[in-house]
Amino acid sequence: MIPLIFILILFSFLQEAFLPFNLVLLALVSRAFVVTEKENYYLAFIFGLILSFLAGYPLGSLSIIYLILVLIIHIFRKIQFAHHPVVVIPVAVVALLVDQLARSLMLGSNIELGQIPVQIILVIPVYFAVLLWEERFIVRKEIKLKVGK
Amino acid sequence: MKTILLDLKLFIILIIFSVLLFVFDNLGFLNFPKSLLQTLTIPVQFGLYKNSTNFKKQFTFIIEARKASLENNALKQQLALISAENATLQKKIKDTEDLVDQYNKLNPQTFDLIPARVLGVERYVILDKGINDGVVESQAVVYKDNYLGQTKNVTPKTSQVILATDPESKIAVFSQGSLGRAKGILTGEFGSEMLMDKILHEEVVNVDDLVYSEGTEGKLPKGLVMGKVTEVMERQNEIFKQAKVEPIFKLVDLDTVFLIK
Repeated sequence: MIPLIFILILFSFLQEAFLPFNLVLLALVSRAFVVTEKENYYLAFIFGLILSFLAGYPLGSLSIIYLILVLIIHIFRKIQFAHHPVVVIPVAVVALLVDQLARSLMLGSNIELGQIPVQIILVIPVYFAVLLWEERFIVRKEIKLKVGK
Repeated sequence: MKTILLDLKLFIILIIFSVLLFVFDNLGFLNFPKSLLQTLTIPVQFGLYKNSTNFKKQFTFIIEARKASLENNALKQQLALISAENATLQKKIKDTEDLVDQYNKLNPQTFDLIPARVLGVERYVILDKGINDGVVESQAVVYKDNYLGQTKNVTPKTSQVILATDPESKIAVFSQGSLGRAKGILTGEFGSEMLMDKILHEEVVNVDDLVYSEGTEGKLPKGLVMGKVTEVMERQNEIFKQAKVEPIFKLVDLDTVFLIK
């Protein structure tokens, strides 16, 4: 979890400094899609706070949006077809649009849709990177070996 | 079900926290802690921004340098093409000037002229115009109003010219000077000179007198300049006197000549 937090902090600074992509949101969406854990809410809250602080938005504004997005993804994950990796793409598109809408409302500017196609392509490697990290490098308590009879 | 409820509880707590932070921030209660944190984050953000700008500049420089190199090559090619085009145009201007000059000397209404280029000079001069261009044998080759020679062997695309200095060439001429005129036969000699022969003793010929064609040969008009007298050879016991004549123009020095139809 700690390496992920460090990576997300780095992403936050990078995207608020010069990167035109919302890598933090893509990582949060991907993680919420890979594992339905309560840590996703903490991450959504903290990084919503960090991003609003770095971007100069009212504190807590992005946290509310990210928390709602994570909750919706968690509920969406209960549906059978939602387990397919391709579903992450439309989910990411919705998340990015909501984020853009919220930011434009807060700044009073137009929605910038220009970078969304690039971010849609970007969500695939981010999703697989998160999947690899969570499946191969994170040990979970609930994993138990079955001993055959 | 229990985990979902626990998660929902956590979600609601975090939402309440977020709303509270939102309200406090809007009311300005969080300005002091925010300004404290910004003293740490602003240099980092500025550093990242500055580095990204420098990186972009470097990257742009590489792209611009590559673009400039390609543009340079293209411009060099363009310059080479323009230079070649310029050379062709200069040649065309020269040809046109020669043609205009020629028409000024020989009236185009009287003489029908065919411009031709010199392809090679040996004993006979080769021109780039032949039967296809309307050239026939024994046509006079001139430059301005100066006689150079006449066509001999004509092929569809080229023609050979016997120069006035060739021993084969024999033309009836007359010399004209301020003191009088003399008639004679101009014969070529190997080299660059001609001999004006059969001049009667009583006729006047002097050095620097100009020699003109008589026009008695079929296609050769009267009054073309054949050359200039350089030496007069006179002996009392001989019937005729002779004069050495030098052509005014050397065909080797000319690019374009004209054939009189």
